[in-house]
Amino acid sequence: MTTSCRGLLLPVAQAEHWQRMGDAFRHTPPPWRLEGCAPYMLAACLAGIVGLVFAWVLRRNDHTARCDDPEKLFRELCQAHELTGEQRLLLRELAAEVCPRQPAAIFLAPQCFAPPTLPPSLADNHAALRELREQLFA
Amino acid sequence: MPSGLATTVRTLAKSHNDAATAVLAATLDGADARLVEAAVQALIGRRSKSGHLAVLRRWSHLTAEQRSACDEGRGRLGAALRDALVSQDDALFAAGAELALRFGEFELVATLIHVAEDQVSPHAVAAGRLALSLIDGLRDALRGETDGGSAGGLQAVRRTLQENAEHSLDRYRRHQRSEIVEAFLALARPDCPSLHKLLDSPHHPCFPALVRTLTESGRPSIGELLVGFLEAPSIPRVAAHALSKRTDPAFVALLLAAPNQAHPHVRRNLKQVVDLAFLRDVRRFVAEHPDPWQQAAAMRLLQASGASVGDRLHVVEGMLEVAAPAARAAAMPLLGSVPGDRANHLIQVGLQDVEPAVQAAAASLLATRPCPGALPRLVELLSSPFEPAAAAARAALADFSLENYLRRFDALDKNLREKSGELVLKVDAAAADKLRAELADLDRTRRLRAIRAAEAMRALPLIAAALTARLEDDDHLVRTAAASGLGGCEGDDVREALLGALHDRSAAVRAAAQASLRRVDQSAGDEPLSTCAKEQGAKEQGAKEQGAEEQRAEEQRA
Repeated sequence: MTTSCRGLLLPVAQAEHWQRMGDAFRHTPPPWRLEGCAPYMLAACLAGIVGLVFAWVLRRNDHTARCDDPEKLFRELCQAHELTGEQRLLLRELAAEVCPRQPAAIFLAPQCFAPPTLPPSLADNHAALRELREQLFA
Repeated sequence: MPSGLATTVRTLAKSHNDAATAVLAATLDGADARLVEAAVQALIGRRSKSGHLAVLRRWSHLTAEQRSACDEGRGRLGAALRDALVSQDDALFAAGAELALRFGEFELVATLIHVAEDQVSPHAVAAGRLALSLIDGLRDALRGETDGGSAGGLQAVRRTLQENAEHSLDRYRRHQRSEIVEAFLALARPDCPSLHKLLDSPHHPCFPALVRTLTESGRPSIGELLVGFLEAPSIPRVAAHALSKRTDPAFVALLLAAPNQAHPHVRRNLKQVVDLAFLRDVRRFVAEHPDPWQQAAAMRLLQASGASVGDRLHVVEGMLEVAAPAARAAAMPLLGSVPGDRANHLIQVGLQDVEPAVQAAAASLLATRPCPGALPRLVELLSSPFEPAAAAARAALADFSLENYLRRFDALDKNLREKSGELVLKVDAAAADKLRAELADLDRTRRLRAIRAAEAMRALPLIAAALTARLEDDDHLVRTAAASGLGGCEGDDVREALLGALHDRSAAVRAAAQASLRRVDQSAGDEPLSTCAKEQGAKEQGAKEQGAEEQRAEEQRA
């Protein structure tokens, strides 16, 4: 009994020693430094941009969503006909000349591919356009 | 269609991009028929009302091939057709009407009823007529569905449209459209409570139009409704009146084909029909309905109706002059319950008809009613080779039965017995059997009377076997009568029996048998008497003479 009471009273007796314990640590955190976070923020921004671009591309090529977009319809038709990039550019150029408001209308206008009716800017491409016409209307 | 263009059309048709509609609509104005057809096909394939309307607006400019490309849009053009039918544009309305009929867009009837109600619409009358045409199509589709045995949604469509038309009739005072009345009647069923309510409301604004439509409309569905009323638990008076006034051949044919007169409702409802106007001019009726079956059906209908006696006599008189044999035969029962000289005369005409079936029908009437002067003809008919006529005559002369004959036999003189007896033998097919039964009776008087009756009827050969059996009768009077009667018969068995009777214990029987044997042999053309019979006869004669001598000797001794 005497021994146990002594064990409990000992820290109380030495209170002056452990009351100052921890005084050596800093009470406030170190100041925030931008240069330390920059890589992370840059990475986050890049990821966001990539995500947005990815979503935009997805939405741009998503033909299942209801919309009223002549440009998208043009792309949808190009995709359906499996046109190459070069053919798409050529057809886009022709549509811009002939039916700028409804570029997809070019897919139902074979008469626009005839050399006499070609715009001067596309006169040199009549061979490619003839091939395109064969593909679209033959 | 080329594969490239087909790809374009397919893509534009399926695209969710509304810009495709504008592209395709613009193509409809082009000169290239192939592209226009492709555009029509794509526009019809799209679920776009504006695209469908674009096609409808150019409908009058499209070729037959281009129009046929629209057939794939069946069931998808409802909204566009509705807009077309309510529009003021004549061309658009015409295109909508044509496609509505072609596609069987029955739901559009509701829209058309609203257009028909519109007092200022230039298409009000046309809309009413189009609604009726669509209802006709619905009726045909329902019939096909019923024949196929499947209950589809068309019945629900019909009920909905009927409710629409019924509500429109509530506004009849305002629009006064008889087409809507006709549409309601064409959609209604005979058991429809609201229809019965309207037909029982003479003060309803549309009541005159209802009556007029029921009486005059040549639409098959109205005719079916009228005929269908006959099978309803009760027929409205208006319907019975309209039914009696109809004379148009199509309705009459329907009426003659439809009602099952065995149905109790039909029998009761037909009694409410007191006139059949189409039978007033019998010659015209026969000319319009040359089918004997139809003519006969008309007679059965008249028989079941509540027509007056005068009308019945008029019709029967006309039918006996001009109708087919089957109809003439079917007309005769109409006279069954009609008394009077005129009916008797018509029965006589029927008895004299060249057609045995008519004779039979006329003769069968005489079983239940007297007809002075008909007896000679009935007797003639007894010999008719046409069994039904002979049977009918027998039925008409049923009083000439063997029972009646035997009952009165003793009171008749010889001449009357023979004449009546011959008639009884013709009329009563079971007379011979009955005579045989009489011969087997325990009562001696009846047995004796049967033999005498058979002799008067000249029926002895028919009961030869029974007479032969009576040669063994306990009563010598019966045996004597039987032996005497067998003289009118033929055959070896008869002869053998008579030979046996020569040994009978009764001298009277033996004498009768001997006399009959002589008659049998004479009628057979054989030698008058066989050797055995001669011997027997000689013995008999010797026995008689010997008996007589013995008797005389006894008397002298005494």
